[in-house]
Amino acid sequence: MPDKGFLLQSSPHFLDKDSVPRIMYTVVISLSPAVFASVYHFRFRALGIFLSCILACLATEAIFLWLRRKPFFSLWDGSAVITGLLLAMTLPPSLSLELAVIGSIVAIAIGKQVFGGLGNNIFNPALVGRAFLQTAFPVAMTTWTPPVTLKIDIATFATPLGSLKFQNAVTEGTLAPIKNLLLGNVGGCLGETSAIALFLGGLYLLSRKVIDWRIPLGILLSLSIFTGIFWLSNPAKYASPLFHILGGGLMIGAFFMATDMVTSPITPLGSWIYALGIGLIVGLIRLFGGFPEGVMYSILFMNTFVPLLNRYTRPRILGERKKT
Amino acid sequence: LKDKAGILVMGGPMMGLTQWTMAVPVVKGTSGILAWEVPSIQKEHECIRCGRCVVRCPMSLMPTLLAKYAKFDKTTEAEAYGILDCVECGCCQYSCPAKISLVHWIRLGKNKITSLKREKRA
Repeated sequence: MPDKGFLLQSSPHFLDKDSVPRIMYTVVISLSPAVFASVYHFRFRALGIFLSCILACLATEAIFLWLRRKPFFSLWDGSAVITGLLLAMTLPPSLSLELAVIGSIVAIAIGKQVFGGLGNNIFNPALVGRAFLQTAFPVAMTTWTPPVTLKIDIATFATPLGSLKFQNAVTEGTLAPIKNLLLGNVGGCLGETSAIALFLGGLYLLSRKVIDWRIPLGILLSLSIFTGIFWLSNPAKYASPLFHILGGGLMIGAFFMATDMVTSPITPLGSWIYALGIGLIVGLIRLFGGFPEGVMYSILFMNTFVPLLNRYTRPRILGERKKT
Repeated sequence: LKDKAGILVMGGPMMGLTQWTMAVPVVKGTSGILAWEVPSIQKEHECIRCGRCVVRCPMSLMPTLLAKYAKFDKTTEAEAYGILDCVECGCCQYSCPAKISLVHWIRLGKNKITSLKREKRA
């Protein structure tokens, strides 16, 4: 038995089993229902875009880690895989693979690594990649092909929100039925069409306590209140809140994009303000803005407020007096 | 005590102090003595700002910010965010998924502040 020379270390001596790679791969698992749904709806096109985005993200991450002389183990922490997966889910199925790769490179290089890698980026990397593609290649990013499972014979058609915005779908009565929105049998981006698959994944994340429940709840609440006011005042002109929640990218935005740990506030009160703001801006853009869809821009917009929110929503320290 | 014991803790697992030698007396305040094998070192990741430490902190501090301020010698900011109120309970470090030594950094920050104050007084 040794008498001395025991290891000295700082307390605490036990740590939680949870780790960064574990969190990241939990998110990947929770995205899998939506991935399967989109592969089912869009077949090989979806598979190609998913694979090329993930591989391009991993490659860009590896190059930047090498350039910045950073340890390589953080390549496998799963954050680059998630960025690729999330970016692919927000791309239209008809997009060519080169554009998907360009988007992934921008997402990792400009969205994440120029700020100092994982944990230091201001904006959600996947959404930065998508915003870049949307600005640089607007035609390719708004050409929607119908899913294979929806048996119609046209090359392109509008997303549910697009027809709501530009074709007066409510007054014409051509609004996509709620059942199709739930199953994903509508036009739209790869991963955002099937609301039920995204909701399942989101529930799994909530049950594993990976994401903050305040953020999805706050977004859904404020969007349904905002659109509900207009729907109740004039149901003949505005779509119902349920349509707004299930249509477009709101589900993936609320459960997977806005809850990205790095780009959401660290204080509980800050999370509430952030979530309510996102829902409100989504509603504003959808009802009055120039775009049919506003989830991407509203999340990016609220991301800019996160440092401010963190500063002004500091929790009151135990025993600290309220400022009078 | 078996031969395998590589770490000796006086006190509990969260706040106990490690001892270098067995020749330490047990006194009235000693709550317990723990011994186990040398733990494997876990890789430290970047802080992903998940906010778990902020939710867990019983003093309602923001440990992740305090640790960063302590790391970069920002003593005035650290004091404004209440680094001296930390009770070193270890809840933040326990829940940290990035395995950052939060309590260690906060202790270092406290020492930096108190030594600065001592210098000013002298």
